[in-house]
Amino acid sequence: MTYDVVIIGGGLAGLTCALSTLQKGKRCAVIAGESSMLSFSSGSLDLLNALPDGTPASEPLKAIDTLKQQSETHPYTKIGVKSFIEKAAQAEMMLNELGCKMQGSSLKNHYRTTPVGLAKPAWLSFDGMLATETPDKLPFNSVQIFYPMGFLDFYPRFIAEEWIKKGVQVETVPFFMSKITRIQRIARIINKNNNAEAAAVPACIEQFDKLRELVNRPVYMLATMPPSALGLNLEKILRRKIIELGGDIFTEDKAVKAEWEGNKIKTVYSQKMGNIPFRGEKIVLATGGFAGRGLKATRTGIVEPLFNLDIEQDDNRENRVNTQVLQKQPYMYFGIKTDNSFRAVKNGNVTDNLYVAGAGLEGFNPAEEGCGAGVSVLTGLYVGEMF
Amino acid sequence: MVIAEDFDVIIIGGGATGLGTARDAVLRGFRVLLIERFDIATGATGSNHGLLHSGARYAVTDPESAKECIGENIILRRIACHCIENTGGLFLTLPEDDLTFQKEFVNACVNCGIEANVLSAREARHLDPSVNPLLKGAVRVPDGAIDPFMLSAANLIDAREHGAQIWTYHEVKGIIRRQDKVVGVEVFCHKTRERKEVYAPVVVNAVGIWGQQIARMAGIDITMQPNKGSMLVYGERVNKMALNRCRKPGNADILVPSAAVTLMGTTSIDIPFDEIANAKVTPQEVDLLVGEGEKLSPALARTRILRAYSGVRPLAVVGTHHSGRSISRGIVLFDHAERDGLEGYITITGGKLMTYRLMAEWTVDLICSKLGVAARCTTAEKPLPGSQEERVSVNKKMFSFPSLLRRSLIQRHGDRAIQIFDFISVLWGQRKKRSADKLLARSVLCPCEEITSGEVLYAQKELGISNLMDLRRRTSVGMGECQGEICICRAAGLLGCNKEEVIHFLQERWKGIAPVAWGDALRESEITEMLYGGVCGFKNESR
Repeated sequence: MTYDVVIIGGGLAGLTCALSTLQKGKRCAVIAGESSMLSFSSGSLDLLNALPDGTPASEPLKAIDTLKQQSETHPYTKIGVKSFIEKAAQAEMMLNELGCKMQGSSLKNHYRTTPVGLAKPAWLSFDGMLATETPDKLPFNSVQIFYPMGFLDFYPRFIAEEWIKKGVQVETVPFFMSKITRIQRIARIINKNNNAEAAAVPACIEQFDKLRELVNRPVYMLATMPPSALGLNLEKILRRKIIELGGDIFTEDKAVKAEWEGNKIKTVYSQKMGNIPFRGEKIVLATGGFAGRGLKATRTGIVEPLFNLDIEQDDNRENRVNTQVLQKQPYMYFGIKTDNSFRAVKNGNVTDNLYVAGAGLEGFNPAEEGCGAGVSVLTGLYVGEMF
Repeated sequence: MVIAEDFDVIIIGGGATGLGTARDAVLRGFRVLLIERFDIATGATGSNHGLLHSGARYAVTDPESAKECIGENIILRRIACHCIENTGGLFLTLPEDDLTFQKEFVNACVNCGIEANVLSAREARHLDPSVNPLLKGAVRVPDGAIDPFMLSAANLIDAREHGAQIWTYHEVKGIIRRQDKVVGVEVFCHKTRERKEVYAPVVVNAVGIWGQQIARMAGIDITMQPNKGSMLVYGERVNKMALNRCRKPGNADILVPSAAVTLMGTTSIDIPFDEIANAKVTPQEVDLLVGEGEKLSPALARTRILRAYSGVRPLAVVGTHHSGRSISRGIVLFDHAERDGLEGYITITGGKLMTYRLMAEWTVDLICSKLGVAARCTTAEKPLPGSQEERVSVNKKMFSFPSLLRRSLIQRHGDRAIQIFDFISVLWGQRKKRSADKLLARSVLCPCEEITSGEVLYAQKELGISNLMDLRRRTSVGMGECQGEICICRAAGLLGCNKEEVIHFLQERWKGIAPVAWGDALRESEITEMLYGGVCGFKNESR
């Protein structure tokens, strides 16, 4: 099977990369795994919340200059200021064209509400999610949170606790919901219990747009713990568009080996396609970090399991981790070494046609810097546009 | 300052020994109070490797301990059968070990009354296919696996049901002396932040390694030697039987299957007193355990390590100073009236989890003679709550409960599963068709360990838990493969815990994962970081 571009990995980076190559009229295949990390999404995408040294960055486009000085290997530094601004705008446009209505922009971060009620900066949030301009102000003075009884992955009590601190009156209203409960019924429940200015529901309720039409006051979506319905929905939309544009997605498959010709990958083999090789002018590796199984830690070191690429890491095992949980973890910075155009490095040599996009890259910390989704989308687009 | 009611006996320390003593004393008719600084089984008890010793391990080097072990082994199988898995044990002679030791070993076992059968390498491989196929020989002994949390909880429940008061999260701040007699203790309640004085004619110091400090409060000197032992938890049950090396007890030579995991232990390192509270598992220890573990059972090389943990053995120095494994691990019972001329004060320390009941018996015998009460010890005959009914009949009583959930519930609680089942059934059978309780009752909160929300609600109501860590010790929420990634936020939401507790729990789990953070352990940890730090926005402010 011969393509212009073969993309390994079906997460956010792989899919956006496929989309941008297809839009340029190239033939493209995606070898996608069972599930992507999009199911762990919060329903919002982040671009840049803080610089590597910890300074908050409320206006990502302005902060990018400083970031460049702080980190040489950061993917955003490699993309460059000009392309960063361009690609961020392009991503916003692309999502809009796909029919994913989003709130927010790369000019200024807004604040989303997390499943436990805290306010966290974000770049884009799905339409309908509660997004505010400042962390301490809500768009209502009283609210009712409606949630399905017995649903364990949503914490109205935590959210109420945080909102009450902000001076808002909160009431939590559990209601009975089964597989066959129709959206009209939920709307009726919300309309009948009209005790507050606004209503909020967990983001696991389908047909939210319809609910918003049927309810007589503002309704907001609140993120839940995974699986994230919004993240999976985004994945579905991206996949659908890729197929529409003529791309091939090999789902629940896994690249297993490659044949090299000097510094160039000649063919890639996958588990399901057996000995039928994928040939591509360019190969993109977007298999993710540790969580997405694109990187693998062993007792002795970190490896990239598919091509055994060079990894930026610390040889001392003790230095890989911070003993305090939820603080700066050194292992998060580890990743595949690339040159400035995201070509992978193997045995000290830059490869000819193997590009890397997404969470597997070196030099950034998605948790501390709040840039996981942004790195995936922007490097995906950047690598895809290059061809 | 509040002066609480009087008791006959005050026991300090809520480990297996303290709880066992409380149970024994209350069964003999005393009014008992047990004081524990944190929750039950938070010290050496909770970090035990869970081997139900047959005594074979000590037969050659310490026959006295070996005899105590086999005696208690037989008793525990009777009174605490729900905490025990009868796996049997093998002592393997590996290619690098000396086969001549086997003969000495078997003789020593027989002399101590431990059944020991010599097996050929082939027979051993047949009994447990996971053993190193290169082994030269093996001896079969009646080892097993024991769950220290369940054992402690069962003692707690029984003591409480017979009228003992158990005060957890109460710290002893001072021992009240009147001339040369101890008459009570001064305690501080961490929850209400209140100081109390409680009085009793006898005070028992059963705090294990912290015994030195508690003794000093009464002006007595005892010397403890803190000795750290580290262990690894593998995420699968690799071996069928408890595996030991057939050589003199050394480092990293025990492999115990326990519920769904395998425990590899242990090391032995003397540490200074100030390191007890934050004893760390070092990379050298991890490498040693991994290497030696793979020699016992090569399949471990392909098995995920869930976490590492360490405990501190409460070894008491009697006479001249020794260290590490050569120090007596036997039971140490000090009657301070005899030793230091201080009436009303007893220290029980040393020993092993295996001998907790015997230690309790000796202690309460001494209390009886001090108070002039003639009461016989019955703890060797009376089964603990959880072991009072046959498993088959327990199973029958809960037949309407889904089989997977039923099995795991009985495994964790023995016959007390029936009470939890009744509790869940009340919620489940509520008349009102659509109530939150009803929907929650049977919903699975922790998919790794098959724990229902109903069980968690029961633990909150009946088992006296006050935070997520306690919940883990009572129901094993967060102990499975995901190490709390999915279930802990759910449990916090259900119980109404605050966010700091969630972070504290994650920190405790991370402490165990960090030393073995590679492979799937690091992968899960990254997901946990993304979920709690990224999606939820939790922040850990501590330094």
